[in-house]
Amino acid sequence: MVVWDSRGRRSTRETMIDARRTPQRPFGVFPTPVSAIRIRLSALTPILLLGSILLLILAVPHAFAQPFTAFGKNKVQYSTLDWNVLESDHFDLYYYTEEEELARLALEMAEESYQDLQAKFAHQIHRRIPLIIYNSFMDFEQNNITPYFLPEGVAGLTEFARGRVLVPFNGSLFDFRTTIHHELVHVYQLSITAQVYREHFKQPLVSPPLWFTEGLAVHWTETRDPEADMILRDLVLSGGLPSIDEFWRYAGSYLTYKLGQSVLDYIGENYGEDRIHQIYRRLYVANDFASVLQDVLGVSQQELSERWAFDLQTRYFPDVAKAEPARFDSRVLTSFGGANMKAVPLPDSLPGLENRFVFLSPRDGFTNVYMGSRSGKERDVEVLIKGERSSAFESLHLFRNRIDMSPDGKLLLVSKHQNRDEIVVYDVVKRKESGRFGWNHLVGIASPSWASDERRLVFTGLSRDGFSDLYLYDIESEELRRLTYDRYEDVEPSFCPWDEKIVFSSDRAPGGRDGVRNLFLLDLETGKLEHLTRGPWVDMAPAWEEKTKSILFVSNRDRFQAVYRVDVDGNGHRLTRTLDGIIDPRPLPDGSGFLATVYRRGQFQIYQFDYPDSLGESLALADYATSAPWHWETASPDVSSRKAEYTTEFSLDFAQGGVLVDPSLRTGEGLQFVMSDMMANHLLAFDLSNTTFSTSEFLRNFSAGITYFNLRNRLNYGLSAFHYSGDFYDNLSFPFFEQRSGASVLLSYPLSKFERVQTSFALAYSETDRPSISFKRKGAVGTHFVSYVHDNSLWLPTGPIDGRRFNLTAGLRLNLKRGAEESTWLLGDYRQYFRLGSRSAYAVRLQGRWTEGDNPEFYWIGGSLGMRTYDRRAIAGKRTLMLNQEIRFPLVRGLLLGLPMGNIELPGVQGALFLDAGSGWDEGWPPPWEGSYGVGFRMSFGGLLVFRLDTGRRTDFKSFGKQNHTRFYLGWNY
Amino acid sequence: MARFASSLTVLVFLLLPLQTVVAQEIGRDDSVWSGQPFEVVWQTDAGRAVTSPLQVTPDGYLVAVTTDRKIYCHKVTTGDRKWRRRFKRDLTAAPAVVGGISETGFILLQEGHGREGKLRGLRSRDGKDAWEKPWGDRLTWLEPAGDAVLTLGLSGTLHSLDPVDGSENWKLDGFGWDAPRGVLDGDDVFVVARADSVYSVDAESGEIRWRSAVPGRFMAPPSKNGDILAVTTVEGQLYQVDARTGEVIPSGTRRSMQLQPPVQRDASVITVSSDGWVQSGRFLWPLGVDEALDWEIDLDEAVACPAAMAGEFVLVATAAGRLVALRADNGTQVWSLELSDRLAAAPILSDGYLVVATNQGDIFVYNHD
Repeated sequence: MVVWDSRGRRSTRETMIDARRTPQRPFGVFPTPVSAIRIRLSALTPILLLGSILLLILAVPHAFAQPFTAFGKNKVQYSTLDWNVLESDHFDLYYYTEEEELARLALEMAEESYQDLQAKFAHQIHRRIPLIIYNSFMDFEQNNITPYFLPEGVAGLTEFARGRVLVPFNGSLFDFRTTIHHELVHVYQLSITAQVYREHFKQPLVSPPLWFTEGLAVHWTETRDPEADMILRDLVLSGGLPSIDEFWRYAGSYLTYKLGQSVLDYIGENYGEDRIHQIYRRLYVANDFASVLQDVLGVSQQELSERWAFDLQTRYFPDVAKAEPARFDSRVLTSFGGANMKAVPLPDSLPGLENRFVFLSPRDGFTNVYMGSRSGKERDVEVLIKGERSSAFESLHLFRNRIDMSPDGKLLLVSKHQNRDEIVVYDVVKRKESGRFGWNHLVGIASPSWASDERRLVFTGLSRDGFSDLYLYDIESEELRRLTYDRYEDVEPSFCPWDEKIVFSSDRAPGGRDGVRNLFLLDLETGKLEHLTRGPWVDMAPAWEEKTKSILFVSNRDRFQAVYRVDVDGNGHRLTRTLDGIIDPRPLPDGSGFLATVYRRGQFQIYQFDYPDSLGESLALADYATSAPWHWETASPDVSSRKAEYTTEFSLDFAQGGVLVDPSLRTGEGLQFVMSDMMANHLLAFDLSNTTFSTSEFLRNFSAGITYFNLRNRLNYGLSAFHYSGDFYDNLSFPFFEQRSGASVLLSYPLSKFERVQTSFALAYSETDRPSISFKRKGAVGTHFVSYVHDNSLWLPTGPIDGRRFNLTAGLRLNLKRGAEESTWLLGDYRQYFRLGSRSAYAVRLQGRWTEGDNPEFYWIGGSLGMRTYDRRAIAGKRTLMLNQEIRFPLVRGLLLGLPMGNIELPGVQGALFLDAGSGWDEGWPPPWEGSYGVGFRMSFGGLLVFRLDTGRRTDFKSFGKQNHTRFYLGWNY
Repeated sequence: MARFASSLTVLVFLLLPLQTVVAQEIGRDDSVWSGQPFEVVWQTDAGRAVTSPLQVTPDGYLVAVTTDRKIYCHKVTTGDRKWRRRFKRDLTAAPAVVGGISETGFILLQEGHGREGKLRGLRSRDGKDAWEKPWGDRLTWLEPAGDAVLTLGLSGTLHSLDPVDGSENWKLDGFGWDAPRGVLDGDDVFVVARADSVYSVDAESGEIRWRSAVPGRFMAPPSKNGDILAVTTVEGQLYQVDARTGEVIPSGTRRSMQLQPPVQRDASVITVSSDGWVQSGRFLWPLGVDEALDWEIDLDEAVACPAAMAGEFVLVATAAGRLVALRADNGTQVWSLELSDRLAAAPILSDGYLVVATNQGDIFVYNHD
């Protein structure tokens, strides 16, 4: 899950995903200050996939879908997609039935990009490129190729394992083409890097850093745009422009893309575009990327950084003479967290809610709806709706949605709910939901806006076949009327308060295929559709202003993202001239000014502006000549393509093997490999292993298993056949021999992203010999487990910090030969995290495990992950009960060690105060209770590599121990 | 054809810069290459990719450097290995062979660069060291020039060295970082600076005969045919330059990303862009230009090594591993061979033999029946 720190930067958890945000949609549906996320998955994808499905525990839990594991959220396949294939000269394009027209167009775009990049890289890719397109983000985020959950704003991704390119369509042709081209840059990057190292007979020691790879993808896809200007200007003028060797600090954030793009722009202009591909060709000459840069460009990275910075200063310093900081003419209303946006003022007529406004923010890690007071900064801020914790508000689409408020205090917003978006009506006065609307044929809904009668609302809907149009819904009659019906993307509609007119932003403007958007007016009575603004730029976020009978909007027409006002004839003025970018203006009820989001110092905060006394330069629709609209393209019939059926063909994702030799114990050797099909809907996992004392025991200790997983539908299932044999150790480290051959079925059904039911059935012939409990059995056994899992936790790198997760499991093993129960299990694990601050929480875990039968399990609860001052098996039994409490808080933000050879930056340290109580016993009640209390420290180096140090004392709750016990371990917090 | 087809997995074509190839042909009619080459004279596995230009000496020896730091010397006509040697560090550029493979011949090459860089003079008869000296500037070009060897380093410094002991005859600075290698014609060296200038330098004295401003960035060296230099910029601008006076005439625009040198035949200049467009247009004499193209062909595959003239044909190797022969007068494709891997070292024509090295390290020499 995303966690924002107080400076508005995402936590390092995000760095697992190499991302670039939507240029078009970060905070509205249109070009706004954050660029598109395009993810590259690491080569660890198959390993993690294996872990998440097979290992059950040790994979990164919260960020990955976990169909068959103890906790974790679910990636729900609401739709079963029927895939087809379209083959061109260089691509295998995978699409599903509804999107064939789009598929042909995508293929044409891809081939065009291929030609362009072939020249730029002077490189040929020797394999066919799998390109997979989706009709909507909803379908895209359901894919099984990425085990990760895709954050909002992801526009596409390229994964390393098989070079698959995944691109969702969001209604905009420009976005689609841009994303395809961007991802193909990554495909070329991977290919040329591999070739260079292969040819030069070297290990791939040097890989271009993230800023370079993403910066190049943006550089060769887009021209420098006003959004980039806004971000870079902010960095330069605030003195916060990092040097190139500091770019790593921004890995995973949108700044990586913009900084990288800027440096690549500079290299291209000053050293030549041909130098860029030379950088790849010479990766082998040095042991670090900075040296490669120097080899190609002839200047050190430091000098390059200085020259680039100077170039930016030359460009942006003069802007200070043209504009002022936004805060000089406004009041700041928010400051906590890095992203507060989509502000809408409440009407002043609502009793007790005067001077209030509503906004969206992920300030605590979850995106919520907040209400605050306009009387001061961070005044009276409270949560109205908690998002991202429940199925009803699974996602509030922070980056691509606006909200609206009616005169009687009804808030309109959009939330994802199960397999579709829904419009939610929330009564701010009564503090409860008063309506919810959704339509199965619309996979995406955005930016609803009230009509003055509060009976109708207009919104943007994305249909299943990829049309983004305006819709009008009458709440009383329940009539849904489609207002536009074409391939243009019509977004951010706003209903006129005094007339039957709707203003919206659209790419139907001339130049729309290249990213231009203008404002249009739709007259509901006559059906007439006409330009309100015109010109080769982006006009967006229109909002009606009743007092002046005009429309506020944002435009980037002169490299500054500023607020303008026009009347219904398209005549108006510029209102703001600020150095900081402004988005989403919404007029105040009294007509004295407006609220807007301002980008400053890398953060998005809400400001209140008064209307200026003097107006800026005028604009008029007549200033710009009309020109013919562009036509949404259809694929040329000359594009060579062949249709093919999608077949489930497996190829190897991951293989590993190992040998272990311990002269005094035994040898061990194992082999595992995982195969999957192109969509990763079908997986095959094989494992072979052997642990033996001697060669004569080789066959006795031989194990093998094969498992097939089907993740294509909502119900995930697995089928497994296995033969396990050898000497094992139980939880108390007592040895036992078991030989088991049989088959099992695993089922997992997600009820929502946060809840699932999973069950397994196994039938096996088993020989077990457990001397420690005098148990011996030969015969058929049947085992059945069923679990209910809930998880909506929010994580820091060290572990959960908010939300709740629990697992209730029951199990039964039957001795089929005797027709009797052999073992039963009941397991319950409940964990809740009560947020105390942005990085602090009170965490509670209540865990109980109970087992009974002739062949029971034994559990232990000691150790760093349980009762912290006890050895792992010091408290054990057939039954355990444990209560852990911990207050987690940040201790040190980061450690910088200054060493003679250079600085080393270490991650921050989390502190913890803990109090544990628990017991393990075999029979009877009450059990003897033990406790531990103390302090702990955690330091995360990424993934499972969380160093833990706990020190404390024991207690039996009658007396307190005097000896300190210290434990060091690795692993996340519970 | 069938035999040829069966051995398609490895072909080795060596292409020296165009004029050098022409100069080295002895008594063979290159028009024989109007048909597809089909006889493998010999082949060898060099182990690793051949990415530096191949060399064929006047006395018929092939010298090839591979990315695993080896240098090979084989008789072109028979494939007999004269010697082979391995080094500890990367060999930076194609070696220069002076005096053939003989008792008195030398081979100059650079091993490593920076603090560990060494310029070595090997005895060409057995590949053993004759001398060595420290040389930090990474060399991108070594070329025999009479009794001397010209070298161009990454720093943009041109040296003339005595191959007997490596001593310096002269040096010239200022060609810009990573300037393209030059082209030698008799006593003249023609060099393009990385940005903005073409130079004519006296190979014996190092004196600059003339310098002409040519806007644009250069990645490819010029090519020379008679008194005309053809120069292409990365951006696709084509210029013809009078080799005697340095007069520059813009000669039209070709596809961008011109990373390989143009080839000339008679009055035609053939360029190959990195995305595989082969374009031919005409230079007029006295200097003038007919900007209309005579023909252009899209090979639809990236091109990463120079083209070569073979009689009336231009040979282009694509990064997809295909070798294509086009008629120089009209661009008609005469034959096409599928290779196992791409070529980074251009094919070379020597005495009627085609020598090819792939990025898998296989070297093949083909004869034509």
